[in-house]
Amino acid sequence: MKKESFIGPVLFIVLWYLLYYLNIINKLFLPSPHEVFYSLGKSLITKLFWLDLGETLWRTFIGFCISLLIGIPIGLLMGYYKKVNSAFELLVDFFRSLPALAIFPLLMFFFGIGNTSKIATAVFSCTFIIVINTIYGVIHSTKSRQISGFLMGASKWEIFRKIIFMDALPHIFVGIRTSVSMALIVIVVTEMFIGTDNGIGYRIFETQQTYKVNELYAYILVAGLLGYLLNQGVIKLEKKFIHWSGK
Amino acid sequence: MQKIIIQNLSKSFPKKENNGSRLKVIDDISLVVEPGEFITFFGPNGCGKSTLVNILAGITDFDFGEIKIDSKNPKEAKTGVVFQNFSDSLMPWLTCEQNILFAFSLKNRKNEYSQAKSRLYELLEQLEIKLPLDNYPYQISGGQKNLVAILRTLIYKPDVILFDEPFSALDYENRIRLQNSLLKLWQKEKTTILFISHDIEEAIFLANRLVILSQLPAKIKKVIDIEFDFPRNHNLYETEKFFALKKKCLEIFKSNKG
Repeated sequence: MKKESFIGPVLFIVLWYLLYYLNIINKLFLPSPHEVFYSLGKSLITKLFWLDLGETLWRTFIGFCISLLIGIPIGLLMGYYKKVNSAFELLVDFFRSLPALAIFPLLMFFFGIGNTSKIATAVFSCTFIIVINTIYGVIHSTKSRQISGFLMGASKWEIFRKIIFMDALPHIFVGIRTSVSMALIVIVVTEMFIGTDNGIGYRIFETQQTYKVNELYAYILVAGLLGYLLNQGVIKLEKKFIHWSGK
Repeated sequence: MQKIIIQNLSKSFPKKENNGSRLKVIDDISLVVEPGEFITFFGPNGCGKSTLVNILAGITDFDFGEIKIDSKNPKEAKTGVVFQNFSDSLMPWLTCEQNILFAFSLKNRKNEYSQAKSRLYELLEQLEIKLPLDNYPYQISGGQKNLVAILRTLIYKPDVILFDEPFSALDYENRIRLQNSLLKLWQKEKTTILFISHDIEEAIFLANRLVILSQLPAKIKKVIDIEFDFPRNHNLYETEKFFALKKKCLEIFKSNKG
């Protein structure tokens, strides 16, 4: 990271202190940074914290993986066959525009108040992102590459597998990156609903209800960090496996 | 036996206005190509040269006439194309070597892979061509990418290779270098080549026969034998004979008749 990268975060903390010491916001709702970091540090050595983190990560991961398993094949099919695309385009566009959390209450009917309904909501929100990006990747696969493959004697399946799919990968990864963040958001929010007793989202909700403001801030920080790290992780993977992306 | 027979080939496309009228792109082209010939087509931009390439490659259908490549029609014949946008036609996820040997990664030619690989190394060594084979296409220069595209096509031994102005995006030095490499490869491999160009010097330099095309729709104005001996080098450009020939070609090109 460059030296300048730290300017933003440092300014942010300075501003935070300013707000704190100038009494602009009620201290009951805005603790100082050191109080929050102290609380965070204290949480880090508890087993509970790691259990919460693990639960949230696990739910996010499962939801994300299922949406990959559903989304990529559907996206490939829709991208490859124009007719399938025309048939389902409207549906996909409708459902991806629907805020996923709007159907969480409904999914609780079907799947109960446990993990399944949370994961299902994450799957619902992520799958369409993956589908859309996969379709886009397939449709924009380079024509002259496909023709070259055809002239070299590649079968339809080989052109699909060795050229179109590879060509679509950078776009599929855009979908992956977006949906990892989306999965985390959805999981954290659904953890705030009834019937949950663990996870980062639950802890945020619980600390708010019981006015443990320092901890509330600490957990919000953790949620943010988690999102950031997941995103960075996917970028790292992308750089490694899709090395040609954007070049 | 003749390699390629093109007889009374014509092609038109529906016009954009969509009122049923058609735009004629290729008008009654006939040409016979012997095995191992290097034919260049010289014509103005937008005269239907790329359409001709696509038809010969079996990518586009034609309206009238007949084409035989090794007595097969273009769809059955094994043709190779080096595109104008050669850069896009390479696979960026494969190294140069994997790109060149792509045809041998396919199911029906997999068993020839190691053979093809040693042939490639031999070819590069004999012709003293240096290529960073382990690099990816985005890591090499435009000239090198072009060479990868040429080698990739050459190595799977198509019946004929079609070049659609592949050097037009390169700078002068690279173009000269690639023209030399291409001629060396052609002489070595004895491939039949049809090469489209809008650069008259290039068209004369490379060919053993030059076909001068008209404005749209493309008709053959004249076919000229280029009698300079092979191997050629670019000193040829400075000879009077070359200069005279170039002048003659341009006169034919500009003339209205034929």
